[in-house]
Amino acid sequence: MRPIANRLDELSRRRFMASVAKTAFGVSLVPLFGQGLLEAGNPTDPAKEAVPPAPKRKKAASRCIYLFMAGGMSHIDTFDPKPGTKVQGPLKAISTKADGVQLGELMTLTAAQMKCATLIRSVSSNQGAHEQASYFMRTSYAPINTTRHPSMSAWSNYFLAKPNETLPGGIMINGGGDHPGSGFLESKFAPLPVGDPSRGVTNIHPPEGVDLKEMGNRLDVLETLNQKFYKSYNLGAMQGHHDMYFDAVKLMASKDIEAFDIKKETDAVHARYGEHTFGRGCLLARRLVEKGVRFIDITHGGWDTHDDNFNRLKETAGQLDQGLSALLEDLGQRGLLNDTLVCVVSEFGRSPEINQRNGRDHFPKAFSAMLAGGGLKGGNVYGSTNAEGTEVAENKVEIPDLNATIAYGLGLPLDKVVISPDGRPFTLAKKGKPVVDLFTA
Amino acid sequence: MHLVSTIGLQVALVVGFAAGSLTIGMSGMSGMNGGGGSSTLAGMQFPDERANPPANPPSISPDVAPEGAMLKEASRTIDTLVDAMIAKQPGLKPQPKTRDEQFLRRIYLDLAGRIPTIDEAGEFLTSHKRDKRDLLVKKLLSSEANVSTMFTWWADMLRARSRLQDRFDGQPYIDWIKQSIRENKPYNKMVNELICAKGPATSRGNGATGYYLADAGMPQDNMANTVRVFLGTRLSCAQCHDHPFDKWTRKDFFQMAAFTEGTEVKTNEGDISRAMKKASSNVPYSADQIARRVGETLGVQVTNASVGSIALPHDYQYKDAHPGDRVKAMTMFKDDIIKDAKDNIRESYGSWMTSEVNPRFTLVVANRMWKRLMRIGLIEPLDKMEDDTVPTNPELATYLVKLMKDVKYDLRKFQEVICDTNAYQRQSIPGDANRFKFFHEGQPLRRLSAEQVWDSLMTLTIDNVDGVKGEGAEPLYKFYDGNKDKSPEQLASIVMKAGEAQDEIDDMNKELRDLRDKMAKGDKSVDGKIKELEGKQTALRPAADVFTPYYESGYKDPGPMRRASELPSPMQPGHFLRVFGQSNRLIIDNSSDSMNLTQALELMNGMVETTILGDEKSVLKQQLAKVKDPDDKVKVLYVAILSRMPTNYEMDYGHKVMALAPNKKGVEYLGWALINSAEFAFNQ
Repeated sequence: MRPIANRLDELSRRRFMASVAKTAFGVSLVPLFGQGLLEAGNPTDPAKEAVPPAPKRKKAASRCIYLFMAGGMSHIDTFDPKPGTKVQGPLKAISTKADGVQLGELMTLTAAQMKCATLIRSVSSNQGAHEQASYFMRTSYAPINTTRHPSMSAWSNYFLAKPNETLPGGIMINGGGDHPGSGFLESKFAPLPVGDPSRGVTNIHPPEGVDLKEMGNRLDVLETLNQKFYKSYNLGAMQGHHDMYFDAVKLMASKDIEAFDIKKETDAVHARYGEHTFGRGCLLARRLVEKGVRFIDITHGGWDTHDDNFNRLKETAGQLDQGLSALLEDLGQRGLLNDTLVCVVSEFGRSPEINQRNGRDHFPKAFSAMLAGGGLKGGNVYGSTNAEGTEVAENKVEIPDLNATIAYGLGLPLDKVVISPDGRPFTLAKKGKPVVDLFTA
Repeated sequence: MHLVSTIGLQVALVVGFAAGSLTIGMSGMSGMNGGGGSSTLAGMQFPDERANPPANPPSISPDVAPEGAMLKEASRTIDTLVDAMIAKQPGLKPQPKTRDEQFLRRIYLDLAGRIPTIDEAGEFLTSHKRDKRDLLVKKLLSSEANVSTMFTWWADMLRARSRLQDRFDGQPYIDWIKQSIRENKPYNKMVNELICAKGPATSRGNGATGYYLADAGMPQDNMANTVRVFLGTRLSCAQCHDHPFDKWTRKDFFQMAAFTEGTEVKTNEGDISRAMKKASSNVPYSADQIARRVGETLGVQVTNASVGSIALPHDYQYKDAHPGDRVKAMTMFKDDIIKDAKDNIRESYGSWMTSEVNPRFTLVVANRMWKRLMRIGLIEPLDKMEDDTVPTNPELATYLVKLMKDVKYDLRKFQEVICDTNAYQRQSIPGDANRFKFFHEGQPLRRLSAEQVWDSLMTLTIDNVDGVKGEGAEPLYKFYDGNKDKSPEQLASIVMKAGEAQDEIDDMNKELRDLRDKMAKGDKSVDGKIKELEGKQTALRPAADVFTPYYESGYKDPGPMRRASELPSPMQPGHFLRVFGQSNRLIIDNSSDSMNLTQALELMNGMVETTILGDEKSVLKQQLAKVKDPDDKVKVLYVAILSRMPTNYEMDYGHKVMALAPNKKGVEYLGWALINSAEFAFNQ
């Protein structure tokens, strides 16, 4: 073992990376003592698990930006206006670049982008409480106290390899404690959380006062001290421990982590996306998608407008409008839109009936979602509600169907049965039926 | 007399299973009615008792469980049984005994939930007493540190959260668990209290009601969880259809659920709301939310109206009964324990559950305790036992069941027996341990749990690490005592006053938002107004909080640096504990010891630097300051962090690091590396 004396002065980041790279493990972490995916329980009879083969998209989108409107977005005021009826309220409907398709007046910027988007106005759920409905929307399953289901981010990274060697496959921006994360899949599939988009990933930089050279030195000491322990135990866990540090250092040293630094964008771009958490999150998402992060999950809250709905929406929907339209325009200009499926969803809609406090209440029975980019035909509406929005009129899309549609767009296997650690079989969208026709090939 | 309003509807759970991926035909399930109630696990001998279980909860006799000599004898018996099994495996040899420093670190992690302090390590390592290991085991089992680590074990099993069902304050439940551990309440008594818990949840001492609050509105999930945790069996599949791989039918499930049918969680905010509306046409907007909070603390209670029967669900699909048929409560092992309609159903249920003659109850806890210390259970997984489950060492399993009964479910005595065995004290196995056919020839290496890592870092950070506590439920108990006799009208008046204050605060928020916007855009002139409004809000807050008169006046918040058991349960995602796999306590036992890069990022770049190495007030830094010689500093680092002295090689290397590190940062280099090392991360 070379004495540290020789290394302390020479060590630079590049050299450290070279020495680490030489050890060339690069094997993905397999939890040795944690819950293995196929561990335990009696194997179920494969014949009983058979699920009818699901359609598979030929040219799938390889990226997804999943925008979750938390609180229950009022769909009548945004995606499914009912002008001329008593349920419309004081906000008007506006026309968009897509022929015959209208949006609420708070969505003027998005209106200009509608050629690449499809509105699904026939979404229907049976969950009217925030926690259960959010979970249902994110996982296609109702929450039960006996297991946890994976989010779409985890599924997509479970089925498909990471596009970028050093960056994680999934990132979660502004997500809360109720995000299902990796569910019963291995924790490495959980999206990496970013709280404040202007601050990036927690702990990704060396501590204050420690420059990269010192970091390299310290890692050298660490490697030296670890040798004996690693050698004493001939275990996968040793490799796992080493890999964990290897991956972390790769990420820290990655030229791609500057993707997390949105300050690198011009003021004009910041202004276009909007100087608020959601706008910054969208901007960060665009940068990450460019660098090869497969799935970005952004939460935008403030939609639970039981009272003062129309005033409060000005800010909340205004931010959505700004960030979403900027994202679509930007992705389009950079030639990324075809390959990136953008989804705008919420756990439920809000009542057509306006209540005594000038608000709208929870309404899961009939509400809306939007899909954009990702090779959609676009510029259209799928499904509809009746005149006053109280029921789905045609082409009902239940939550598993909506998620199946998204998964189909991303080329994920809808029919693959995965056994959870406690022996239960699951498919990623609970056998929902995708609306295949929304997409081109 | 408070009228109570029922909590909302059951969460719709059924969406999943019946429409799920499995279509289970009846063909493989004929005759599956439990077959006469036999539940012997293969290879084990149980006396066949279908006799009446005791009508009353088991009493704790003043007779003592075996004295020290008998406990020692038990340890030797265990060793004989373990060694006999090892001898039968060709080529398998027991590991040598741990060296003192290996035992030291292991026993502290296992029984105290943290590494030892330098003083604690020094005391043990320098002691010449022959029985120092036994003495240390006894000392740790009755320490406050042990309460902290056993709390984690219970909280993961019982899903004891600071907020239950996102509605109820879980602190009474948490305090009840800790106090039960501290008093060394026997396990069977604890479980019985949980199952029979009833009455007001925030009444002092009644925290066991948290058991039902955790599953409020979902009594069938509660029963499935009960069976899983205490009887080691997964019944939940049978909630919607006959169990696909075990013998339980859907009818069995509902007959079990019948025992707690009628047990409900009720709150009284409806009464308060009605009283408010009667009293005033101008109820403050915030008052409803405050009323709910009051209802969910003051007014929450677990009723005891179990009727001993249940209606089968509307989609009951089997030929042996009709949807809506009422079925009588019956244990899944076919014990008909409700003789009389006037029986106290839940007490009978609790007695049966915790009875010595219950074929699974004792086996499950014996196996859990074995796993807790020996890292792999005799039966794995812990909670999927079936009739043909074979423990890896059937005689040992039988003996452990007997031992648990002999010590009358005293978990400290049981753990003492195990820790005193050779089997426990063997060195770790250098290769992979087969999880399912494991014979305990040594300890399998384990990553430290999230709580062990955090609590160990706390040991390096704060003084009196076991004594720094959260506030506990005392304010809640006082609130309950002070208000339990008030009428809805009186409560309404209190709530409305608080609501007025809260409304004022909220109104100021609107103005503050605009002002802060202006400030962000560069207008500094609004700063004064912002401060004025914030000051007003601060002044109003006590009035807006109905609990204000009940907070402990002397209590000082110790801040975020305290043991995991004293922090909110669980911590929020992104916190160190969650990054390292702390259970979310929404699912039973779902802590994780898998490794991922956010953990490495945390240890390399997070609080280790700022709070331990970079803060002169940290315990580690204070200890380093006591020695001047760089070699002594190396020793301090090793003993404090790895609980042992450095080897000659390590001393040599450490000496060089201290001498050559730029900017005299040798301590930081070494300390950081030791904390990030694999040896720190694993429990040998």
